[in-house]
Amino acid sequence: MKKLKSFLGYIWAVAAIIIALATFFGNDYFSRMLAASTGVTINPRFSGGEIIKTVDHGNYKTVVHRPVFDALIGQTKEGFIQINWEPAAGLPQVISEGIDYNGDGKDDFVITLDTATGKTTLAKNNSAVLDVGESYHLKNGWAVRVLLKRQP
Amino acid sequence: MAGIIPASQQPGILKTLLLCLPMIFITQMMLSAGKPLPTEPAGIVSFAVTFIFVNSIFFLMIRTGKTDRWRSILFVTYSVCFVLSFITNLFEVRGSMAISQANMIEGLTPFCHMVIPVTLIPAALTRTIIFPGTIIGTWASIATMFVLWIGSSLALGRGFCSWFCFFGGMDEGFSRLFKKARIKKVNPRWTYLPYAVLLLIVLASAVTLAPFYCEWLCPFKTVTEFAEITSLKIFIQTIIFVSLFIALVMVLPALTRRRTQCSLFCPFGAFQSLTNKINVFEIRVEPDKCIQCKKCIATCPSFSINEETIAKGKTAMTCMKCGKCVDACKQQAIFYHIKGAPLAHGKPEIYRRLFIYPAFLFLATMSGGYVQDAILKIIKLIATGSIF
Repeated sequence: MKKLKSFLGYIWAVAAIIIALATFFGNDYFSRMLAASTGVTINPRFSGGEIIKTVDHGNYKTVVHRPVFDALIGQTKEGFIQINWEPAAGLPQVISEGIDYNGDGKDDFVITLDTATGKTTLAKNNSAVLDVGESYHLKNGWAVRVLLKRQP
Repeated sequence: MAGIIPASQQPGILKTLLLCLPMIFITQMMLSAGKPLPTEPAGIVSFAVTFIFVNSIFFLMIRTGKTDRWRSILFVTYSVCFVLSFITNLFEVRGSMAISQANMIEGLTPFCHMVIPVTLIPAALTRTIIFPGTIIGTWASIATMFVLWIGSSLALGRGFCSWFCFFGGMDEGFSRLFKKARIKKVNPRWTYLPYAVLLLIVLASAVTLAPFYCEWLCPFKTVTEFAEITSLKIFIQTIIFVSLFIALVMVLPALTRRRTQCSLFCPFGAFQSLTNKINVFEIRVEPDKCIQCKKCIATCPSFSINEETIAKGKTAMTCMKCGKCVDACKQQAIFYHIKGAPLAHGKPEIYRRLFIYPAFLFLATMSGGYVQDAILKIIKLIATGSIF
């Protein structure tokens, strides 16, 4: 038993060298494998969530993300929806756009963004829309988060 | 000379070179990252200096039988070069060390190993990572760092903290500033603090779905990147992390000659103490050989060895396997060991070599890129007056 333990110990110690080499030489492969096998994504609180709609305006497009109420378990009472406009080169000086995020055919809010200053205004048509959050000047355009209340 | 190999038994130059050959070959591949060797003069110089420096360290480790004495030189250099390389890269790409909310939404925050423990519960329950980075495909992506962490944990356990961590060299550097400790006694109860911090950040991050440690506590934001100050909350966070850096990474290590951030605060270190259970390498003590000189207790940077652990023949679970106690023990009563291998009449030098091969591979590969980049930037600064 002692000899077997010792043998296994040495095997593991030698395997540590192989693991070290594999960690670096196979990093790309293992990283892709890990990402694919776990299927994890960036939490929507950071990424903005999945895209539910894209509106093409010719020179630029509006990207509407899903409303984010994600919590560790269940959902939070308040969340946000992220709207992106891109590419930066095609954006007009002022964007004013009605957004229907719940798919009832009516605009839930109208958001206006000054692409020179990042100043925003919000006109609410739905009681679940709370306020406009920050606007973000991205590499390829602008993003705005509008704060929402979860509806039953 | 103290150390594990008596001078008469040290390997000769030829045997040392033979033992170093695999490392020379591997570091050449790792440092060039599989690409052809640089052709421009600055690239050649930075590659050659790094290659010679790294392999000289390994040569000396094998030849002298000392581990920490040489490891420490590379480890501290690694940290300094990491900071230099990281900050200059940020200025090159972003123009500042501050990260904006827009950068975070775009997933442009490099992921570091410190975040790993807090991501696990949310990842298990929501299948998402609570960090504003990218899963794959960019420099310092989340999947890349997870693979590095899994590999290094399997190979080194908590040895990660002395052979891999790009932050660890900072407090190690400061802990070596003075020859004598100004504060000699630290209550051993403080060594439980990292576990409390770990528990706090794991729970707080799970509840808030945000990396609590990064936002509120990480001292190393002082020398890497930090959130742009746009609110009172971020201002308070900034004061906290700068204060923690000054206290835990600079002042206390210098006064105690210990790695205080790593052993009294770092939650990732506490986490690695737990993953260490699946690792085969350990530091053992032969109590019969021990003459109670207590040099090991005085030199251990992580408070991992005391009379109690010596009597048990091992070090505490917080041991970072740096080898400082092994180097310090003139009786050769402390040695690297492979679990399962014989203790009495064992082969401590073989155990040590089997440990330092994978450990040094991690250290050399992780440090190599940053050391090369830092040298390159210094050459550019001297030659052109600009690092960009």
